[in-house]
Amino acid sequence: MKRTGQRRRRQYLFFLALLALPLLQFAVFYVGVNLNSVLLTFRNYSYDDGYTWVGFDNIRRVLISLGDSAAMRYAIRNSLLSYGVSILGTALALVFSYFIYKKMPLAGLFRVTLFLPSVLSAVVMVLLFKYFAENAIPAIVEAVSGQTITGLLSNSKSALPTLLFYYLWVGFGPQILMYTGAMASIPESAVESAQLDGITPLKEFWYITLPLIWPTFVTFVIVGLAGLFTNQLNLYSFYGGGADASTWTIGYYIYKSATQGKLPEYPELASLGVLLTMVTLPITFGAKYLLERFGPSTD
Amino acid sequence: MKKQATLLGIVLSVLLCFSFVGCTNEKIGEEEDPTKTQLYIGNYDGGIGTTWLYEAADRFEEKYKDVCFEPGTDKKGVQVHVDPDKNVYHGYNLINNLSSIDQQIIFTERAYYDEYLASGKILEVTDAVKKPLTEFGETGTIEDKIPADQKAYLQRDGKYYVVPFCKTFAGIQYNVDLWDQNGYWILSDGEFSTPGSTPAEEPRSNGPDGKAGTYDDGLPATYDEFFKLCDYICETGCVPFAWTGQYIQQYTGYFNWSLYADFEGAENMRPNFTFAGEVDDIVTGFEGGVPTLETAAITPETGYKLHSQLGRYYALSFVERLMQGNPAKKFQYYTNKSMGQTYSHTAAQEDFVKSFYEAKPIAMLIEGTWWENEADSAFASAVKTNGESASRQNRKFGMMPLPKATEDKVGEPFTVAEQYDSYIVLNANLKGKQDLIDLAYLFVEFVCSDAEMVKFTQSTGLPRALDYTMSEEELSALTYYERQVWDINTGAEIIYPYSAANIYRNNTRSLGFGYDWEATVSGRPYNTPCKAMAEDRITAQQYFLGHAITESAWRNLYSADF
Repeated sequence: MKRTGQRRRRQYLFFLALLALPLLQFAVFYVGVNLNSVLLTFRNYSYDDGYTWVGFDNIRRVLISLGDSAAMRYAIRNSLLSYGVSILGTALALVFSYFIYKKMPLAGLFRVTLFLPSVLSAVVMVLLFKYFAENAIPAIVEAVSGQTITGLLSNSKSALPTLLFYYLWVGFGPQILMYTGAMASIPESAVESAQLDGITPLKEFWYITLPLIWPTFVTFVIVGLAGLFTNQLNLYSFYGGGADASTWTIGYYIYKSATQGKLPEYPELASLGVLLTMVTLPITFGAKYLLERFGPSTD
Repeated sequence: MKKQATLLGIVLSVLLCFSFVGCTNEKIGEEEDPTKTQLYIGNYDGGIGTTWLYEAADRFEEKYKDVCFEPGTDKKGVQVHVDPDKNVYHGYNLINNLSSIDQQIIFTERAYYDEYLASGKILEVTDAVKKPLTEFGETGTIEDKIPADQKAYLQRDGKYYVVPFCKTFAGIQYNVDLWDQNGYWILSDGEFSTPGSTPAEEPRSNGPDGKAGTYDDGLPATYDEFFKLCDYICETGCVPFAWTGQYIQQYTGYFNWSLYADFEGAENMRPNFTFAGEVDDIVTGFEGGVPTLETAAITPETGYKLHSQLGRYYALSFVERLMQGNPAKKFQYYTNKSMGQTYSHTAAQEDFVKSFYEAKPIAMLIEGTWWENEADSAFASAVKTNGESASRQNRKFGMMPLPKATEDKVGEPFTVAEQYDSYIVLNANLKGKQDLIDLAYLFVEFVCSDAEMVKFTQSTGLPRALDYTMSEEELSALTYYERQVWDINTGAEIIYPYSAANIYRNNTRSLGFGYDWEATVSGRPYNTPCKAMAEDRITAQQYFLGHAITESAWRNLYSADF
């Protein structure tokens, strides 16, 4: 009895030691940082006076800026557009995953093409794509039509569509990995039974596959929604701090401002973050509830 | 299985040890000599490079090889470890890295002074700044060499926490060899020179300073003359301009500031930083395309008016003409590469240097004064293909004093803005180690002695951000370009974009010499004027009006500081 108690105590100690570091990290770099952000929302900083409490003044200023600034309006629009593209990406990833899962013709090629961006480092991928969009595409256009065009990422008219395309493409990898994994766990007996009943591939997808991988689908939709205003659309990787103002997203604006900003500028950025969290939070939970409540049933 | 796991564990442990050893070597750079006192120096390895520091460190070691810096030990002499890095010692990053690096002295740039003070991670350097430099044969102090504007900003309660390091300007760099070869010099009668002619054979115009016999003779005096020259450059089959496309916003943004500063002059620019004084050229509107002006008192409350200062309009009008080219003659004044994201600043420098030997030479480059030093490898490559005449020492480049917007401005001095917040800082990791602090002070004093500053300029071609002179003999070691930079350093009016005003210090990112020239035109945001003008044909007037800030927007952004 005594030996069992000792063993249990050792096990607890082992688990505690195992969890201590990640928990500490979570406490410092997530809880601590976010708590500080919330506090900063209500404070100002100046080099002479240090921190002072200003109530809701920062929130008021951010709200006015959001209305006043064309760059911020574009940033909100682009953030929403990015989320729209991520939803499209999720839908397409489902289709491609089904394609691969059913081992349809060229499924292997699909797997490699769509998963490749996830295998390579993000920076390498950005660099490759940048040279492709900036040098290869104009060279091809010139060879075919004789016309000289500016690189797709340099021209502010084509930059946003190109960035959205890249975002869509690189987003496929992890989704396809998860979806094909989830699809592989669908009981073969259920599929075979439906096939004996003469089910078409489309109906099989709709009535068997989708309901059984629904939780995975919901996860991607919700995670994307939670990151609505932190998504940078890879702008920093492509342009550093010098992206065209018409392509900014809120995530990029906050990141760029925080990396280049000074102490007195942080309170306003923190206020913007808190304000946007207040918008995102109910939407995320609402969407989660609705998707789980009205999503397809496995019964 | 168990054996395999054990073996794997041993292999991994050994590999881990090697990786630790690797880290140590990388950090230190060379083996420590236990018989000497160790001094660790970090250097931002950007355009200025690190060669000058290696040379200075060698001289310092030699000078003090017999001196004991740690009394009570057998150590004699000093071993200086120099670590060059582009990320760790860059101003933005350095502030986060200071606590975790061993380096005791750091040469950095874009280090925002107040941010460093607030961090508490740097050591006070007042003793070094105020100590007479008798050790180096001088009677004055470092403080005596700090320009007045800098002094007012850096001194806090009589104390100093950084020492100004390097002085750089941005503007138009031009290929003097090409000017000679193709006859781009403007003569006193307004015509272009005969290729290969000398000033003695064909007297040149007085240039923007309006004086004969100065380094800007034969250069365009006004915007009109400048764009006439651009046409001529196109006619001779050359490309007037190149700049980096990868950092287009930064480089062209700084160039806009240079145009703005040169138009306004030091006095009219100063309220942009001090938010005090009066300016007489606030644009209130346009009548028939001509700006109407008013005089305004500038305070933190009325600072928004500076966004409508006439110099900004003229800077934008220069950019508009540059981007427009000459449609009637189908001349484009810049290379297409400059609008591409993959065209780096070093690629632009290389093209500028090497295109001289190719079909379409590039005449001018938008860059900073550090470019020639940074383009060393481009010169080396040019020498390989074109012989010794293509070397940095043998090629002739110049920094062009900016042409004046209007005829009546000709004769006003060339005004340049000092950039990059470049400083020498001492890491607070020295705290409590008085022997090492004294040694660090000595090194700072050493590199700020006149003799060492001259050597710095001879090595990098750049002036230090302190006052010193160079004799003709010392100047003879400089390249043609470096000599011009020195002439500008001593002859031009220099604006130091610093001030002790709260509103400025607390909002430097948006109010300072940044590269954001934001504007809203027809509801669309822009932040790079040259792109807006090239892609959407936005005019200077439209951009200027969209760049203005309303009083209410200003209050919303900055009222916390007034």
